Amino acid sequence: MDDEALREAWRNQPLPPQEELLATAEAILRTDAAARVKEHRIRVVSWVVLGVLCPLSVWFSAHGVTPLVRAAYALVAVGIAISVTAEWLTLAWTHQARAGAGASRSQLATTAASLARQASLFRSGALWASPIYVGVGLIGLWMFQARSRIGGAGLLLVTGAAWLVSAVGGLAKGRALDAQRLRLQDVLADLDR
Amino acid sequence: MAAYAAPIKRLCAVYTSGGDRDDLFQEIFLAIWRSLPGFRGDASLRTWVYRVAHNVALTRQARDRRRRSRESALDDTVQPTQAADLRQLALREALERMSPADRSLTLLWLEGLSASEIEDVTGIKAATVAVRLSRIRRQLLPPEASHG
Repeated sequence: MDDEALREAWRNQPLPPQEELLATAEAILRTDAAARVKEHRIRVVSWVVLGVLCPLSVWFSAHGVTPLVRAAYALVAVGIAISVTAEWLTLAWTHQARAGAGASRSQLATTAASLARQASLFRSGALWASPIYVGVGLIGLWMFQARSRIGGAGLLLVTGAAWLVSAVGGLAKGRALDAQRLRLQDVLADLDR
Repeated sequence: MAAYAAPIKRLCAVYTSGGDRDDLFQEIFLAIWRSLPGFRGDASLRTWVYRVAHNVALTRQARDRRRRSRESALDDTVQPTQAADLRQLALREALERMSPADRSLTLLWLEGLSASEIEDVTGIKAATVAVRLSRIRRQLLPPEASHG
């Protein structure tokens, strides 16, 4: 068997039926439209959060009843701005990490770099989201001292739990993305061999 | 889409099995659809399509930890009763054993791309492609045929 016979044997497979191709085309259009709608929603929600919650927190940080509450709302405002920025960055890097039409070596290198940035962002999630959790925690502390012990303790507990869950989730996601990046780098090393 | 459905299907059959195969097929055409506005015509449509297809397959393989099991090569509806089917099956099994880069090069070569076209798709220099393909062909073909 020579080269051409080998190629012939390989290509000697029936074409997918027309109905299957039509179904795939429809599924592609549906998936693409759904992804666009989802992204649009994320952007709208983040603009609303930035445009409404941030100014509201800033207002409370200026007019809060005690210095503790004012400091808490200032932290929440900073935390919201950081979180929205992080969300936009994640969205942009997710786009970069998608397989595109570049030559495989440069495309996979771009994807690996985007994955590294995303992994680092997720791993440090507990740190950059800390202003929100510390701010809400301080509000819980003020509630505990000035209003309701049960309410304050409850808010502190929920905030602590949410911080812990987001930290663990971020670390796990970061590890998964790192593992994916390492596998891609193995492929890259194999291409460069 | 119809023009490239057959080679993409063949690529999917090597990288995945069962239901995953349809998912990869769809994922590749979704990536082609999304990348289409960026197609400037500086490469041929064929090499451009293969670039997207191979990038999606390699990225998916890195993303998806599940590896195709050895016996899944036999899960096709193809009944290997004829010599051509048996050759196809043997080829598919050989492709599954290869490293990702060798598999990409071999698939592109089997689809009839030249070394310079493969360079365009993978970014590996044409001379290196030729050397690697020569080694791969020695493994795939009997000794007397690989010299021909």
